[in-house]
Amino acid sequence: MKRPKAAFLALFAAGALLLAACGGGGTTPAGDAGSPAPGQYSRQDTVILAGEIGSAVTLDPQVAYETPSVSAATLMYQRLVKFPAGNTETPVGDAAESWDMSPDGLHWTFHLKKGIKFSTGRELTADDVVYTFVRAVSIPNDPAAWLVTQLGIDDTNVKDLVKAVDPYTVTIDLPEPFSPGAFLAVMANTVVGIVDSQEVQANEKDGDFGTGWLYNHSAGSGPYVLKDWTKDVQMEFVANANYVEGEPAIKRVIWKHIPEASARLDMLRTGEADIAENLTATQVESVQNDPNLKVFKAPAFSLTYVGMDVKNVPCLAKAECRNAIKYAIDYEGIVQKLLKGMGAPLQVAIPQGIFGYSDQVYFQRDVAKAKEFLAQAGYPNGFEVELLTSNGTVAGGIPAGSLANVIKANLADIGITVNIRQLESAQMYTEYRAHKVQMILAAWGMDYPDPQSFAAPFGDYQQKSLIWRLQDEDQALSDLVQRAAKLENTPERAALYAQFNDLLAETGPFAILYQPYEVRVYSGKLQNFVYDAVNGVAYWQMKKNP
Amino acid sequence: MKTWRLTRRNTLAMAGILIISFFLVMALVGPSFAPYSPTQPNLDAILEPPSAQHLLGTDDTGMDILSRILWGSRIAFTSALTIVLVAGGIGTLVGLLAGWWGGIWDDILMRITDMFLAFPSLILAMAIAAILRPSLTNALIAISITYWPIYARLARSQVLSLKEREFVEAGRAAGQSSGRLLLRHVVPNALTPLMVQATLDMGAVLLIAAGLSFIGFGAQPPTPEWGRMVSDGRMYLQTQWWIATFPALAILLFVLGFNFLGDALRDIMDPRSRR
Amino acid sequence: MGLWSYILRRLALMVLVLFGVTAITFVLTHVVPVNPVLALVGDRAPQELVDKVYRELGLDKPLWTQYGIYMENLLQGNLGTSIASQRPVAEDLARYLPATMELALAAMLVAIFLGVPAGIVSAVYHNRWPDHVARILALGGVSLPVFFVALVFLAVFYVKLGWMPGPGQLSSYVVPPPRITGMVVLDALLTAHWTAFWNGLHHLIMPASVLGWSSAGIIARMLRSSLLEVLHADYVRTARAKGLPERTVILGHALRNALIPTVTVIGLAFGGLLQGAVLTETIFAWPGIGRYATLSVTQIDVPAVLGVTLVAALIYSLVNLLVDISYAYLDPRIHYG
Repeated sequence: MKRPKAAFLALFAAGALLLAACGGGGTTPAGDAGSPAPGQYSRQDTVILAGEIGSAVTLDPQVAYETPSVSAATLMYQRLVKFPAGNTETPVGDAAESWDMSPDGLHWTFHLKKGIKFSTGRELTADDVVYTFVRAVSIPNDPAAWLVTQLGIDDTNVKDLVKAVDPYTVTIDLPEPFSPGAFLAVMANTVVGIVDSQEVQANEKDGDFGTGWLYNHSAGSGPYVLKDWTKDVQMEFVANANYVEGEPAIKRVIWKHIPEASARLDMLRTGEADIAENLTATQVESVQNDPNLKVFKAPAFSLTYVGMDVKNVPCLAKAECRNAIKYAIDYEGIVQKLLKGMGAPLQVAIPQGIFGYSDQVYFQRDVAKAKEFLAQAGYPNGFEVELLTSNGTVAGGIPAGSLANVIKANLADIGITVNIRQLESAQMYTEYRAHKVQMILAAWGMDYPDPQSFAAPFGDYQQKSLIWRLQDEDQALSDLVQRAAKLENTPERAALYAQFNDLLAETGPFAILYQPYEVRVYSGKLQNFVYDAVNGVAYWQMKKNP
Repeated sequence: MKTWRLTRRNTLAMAGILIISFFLVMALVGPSFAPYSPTQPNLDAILEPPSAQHLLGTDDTGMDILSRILWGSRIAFTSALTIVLVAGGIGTLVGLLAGWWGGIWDDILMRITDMFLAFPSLILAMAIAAILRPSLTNALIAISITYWPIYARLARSQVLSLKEREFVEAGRAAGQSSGRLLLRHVVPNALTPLMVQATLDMGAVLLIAAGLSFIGFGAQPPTPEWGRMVSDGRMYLQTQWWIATFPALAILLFVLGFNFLGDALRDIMDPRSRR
Repeated sequence: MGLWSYILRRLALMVLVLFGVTAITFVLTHVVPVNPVLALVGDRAPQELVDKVYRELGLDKPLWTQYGIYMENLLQGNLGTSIASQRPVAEDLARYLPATMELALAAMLVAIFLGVPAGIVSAVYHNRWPDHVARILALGGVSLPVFFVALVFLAVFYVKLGWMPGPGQLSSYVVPPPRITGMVVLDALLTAHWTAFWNGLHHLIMPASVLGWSSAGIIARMLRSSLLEVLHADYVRTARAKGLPERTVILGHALRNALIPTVTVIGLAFGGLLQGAVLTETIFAWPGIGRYATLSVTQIDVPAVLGVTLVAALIYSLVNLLVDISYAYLDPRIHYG
């Protein structure tokens, strides 16, 4: 009978340990009262974000493509040009002082600022820009590469097209015309965030262009430097003392990955975090009266839409049928009541803030008119259809299932039976790309601030994007988009987009629901808080009160 | 009669029976007393706290929580029963055959059982739900597939111990056929602990369904399934507590009810623990 | 049969089971209608790129060929490369598994700490009010969705009362200890990083309590019924007849024997804990394997899914082997066979 006693003892020891754990915990301060170790940054110098950064795959700027990694690259790397907050039409110089375009739009010359230093201490020169472009098009299986390759620059011709004339001059030749606005928008993208070529080459392994190293290191000239990244836990950035616009006042930025929205709000409420992102519409509403918290709202360059496949469902092949659906949806109710002001009405594919936007209201809920259209399509008694959407929340912070259910009820009023199916996004996109969708509730966000980033996916089936996935090979729309693509932001381009907007509303396979707002809730201690959809939160110009 | 007296003396058993009867009545007639539709959104009554119009408040699309809980009781019973019957049925059959046949069959069947037991069940359930596309029915199928090995093990151990008992030996000596022996003597005796297990599991499977909803493979909106309601309502916990809390309370009571009953059944079936 | 040959036989069977698990996983991941390549190149990649990567990863080869290649690598100890993260799966597992193990072990302690006293009280005061209270308390955790309890705990103990730290393993101001086992608290203890140790321990309490509570009921129930059984056994009666105090009778004689079947349940409960970890980790932003598993399955990151299932099955099998051995060890009547 000796052995069981041992087991019993072990059990008690376990219990005792737990007691010790509870007792010990009590002596440790909760929250952030702890003082930093010597040489560390204090809480006062630090801004902590309770965010969703789990989807980041790599922090290499030329490969980064998911929202959190692109935001991180924006902090760490300068591009040739950048967009000032709230302006998407006239970029300003970032690493470039000035630039010229040849009259035919094929030949670009960028003059670099002198005296820009990387965080490594080296000066940024034209060679670094050229190397950055080589990386952008040469790294295999790079999800972001298409942004550059769409210009006609690829790994076979990049060295002939992108050249360093002297240490401060870079020329880029385009093989074919590309809209100058769109071209500059690509130049402002982190896919061409300039890396220190020597530092990266020194860390190259087996011809990997240094991707293995840049995965969790930084070699840029932006306001912040990567200190540490623990995937799925946090990213830590520290100020770049060499930043050309001056070392930021906030010395340390920490992004924590907190997958649950409620937990993000909890951290903001206790002061453990200074900023929270991706809160639900109701959560944002609930903090509006909190004296310690502030809300920053800016229109997102994205839109939420219902897509209709024109081949998989016989009725939806007819424009009348699609119009019936467009007239049945309660846009106003969705924006006013469901979104609680976290979104604005939008019925064109180009959102507010982008050239070509229109505030035209084409559709308002009108059940009688919708039924009429349905009868014209030959389905007076409606039909049954599956509405696919993703799990979690949709842009604007409402559960995708709730929005889908409102649409289901709207369509039930005209006799259409909707079956909602919520899938994980990977499965949803697999089916979407494979033309297996009947109806889909999804969102589209821009890649770069040019109307092309919206008109092409929504209107040009030859781009093999959204409209192609819905199997609508509308030649008229495609022609309009392609004509507008090559133009500068002239009245002629505006007229083409106006035409495009009308035609898309009239015959297109989309019911566009709204333009969401991007919302950041932040501590009242933060000064100069600026957020915009292109650059994200401007940590580099922020200050913090004690 | 003796069983009933024993049960009546056991407070928690009575509580369990009362709770389950309450939900049973709710499932049978509750929906006809539901003041609103359980699936029709109403954008003019969004996120309303409990009031005279909406006794348990409304959710983010203005659906009445009380009506959804009432309708959800039917789903709770049918889901739990389906899983317990399907998983219990498959598991019992596998376990009975493995235990009765023995030898190589036992080895083969039990190794398959082991594989399913060792397989992380949530991953298995997710994969199955993804293949079949998420829905309540497919979630039930997925849970059943992950749940049967427990019954297989239990049934097998019952058969193994019964096989050696006198009445089976006697039957065999009297020349009764194997199938007859199994059905007449082994199955009825093996069934008791299986039924206790099934009673206890009636609640447990609801929680698994809730977990599947949480990771996005459960019932589809606007189905008023309690687990899904808690999972969806969790985003509103700090601001509109009633959305998640009331269905969570329904789950709590339902699971407790079956647990009390299951424990009582076990006490009663096991003569040694009587006092 | 001796102990060692029993263990060897069990290990051999375990290999067989693991082999089956990989086969099932392999078939399943290829039936799920998700293109794994999207996890790598993103949804906006041109179809040509998607197809190219698909071929490069060998996903167009027949299932049997792919399985053969996987098994060949596996036998050389290579778990492959995750499609989504482009990192070796073994590296990913080494990063995520310790956090989950730390959480699950702590939760196990909580479960035992809650479940054993509850079971004893229940049995001793059979069908009287302490029995009811103990059972309701122990069962409460099993009867609520674990993610709901987790959120309520956060709202109460972290936000309202401020007794507990928030999500995550460590506060932002705490420097993580050097990595030895990957379990933050243990590493801090081993390297004498006391700030990290107390902070990590403090962060561990709430998730472990939520998760442990959800398993306490199972332990309490098993202990209660086996205690009830032995309380009527002859040796307990004898002990009572000898005039030993009730306390000694129960804790000294009855509990020992009643613990035997309870140990088996603890093994099973550990399996349940790993499942519950998936949900708990999400709420508490715990960088564990549960979240890695969910993400891998939803993206059908085949090598990652295989790695996770393999490791989970291995842990489950090992824990159960351990349970069976300790079972035999506790009960001299059992012979290995």
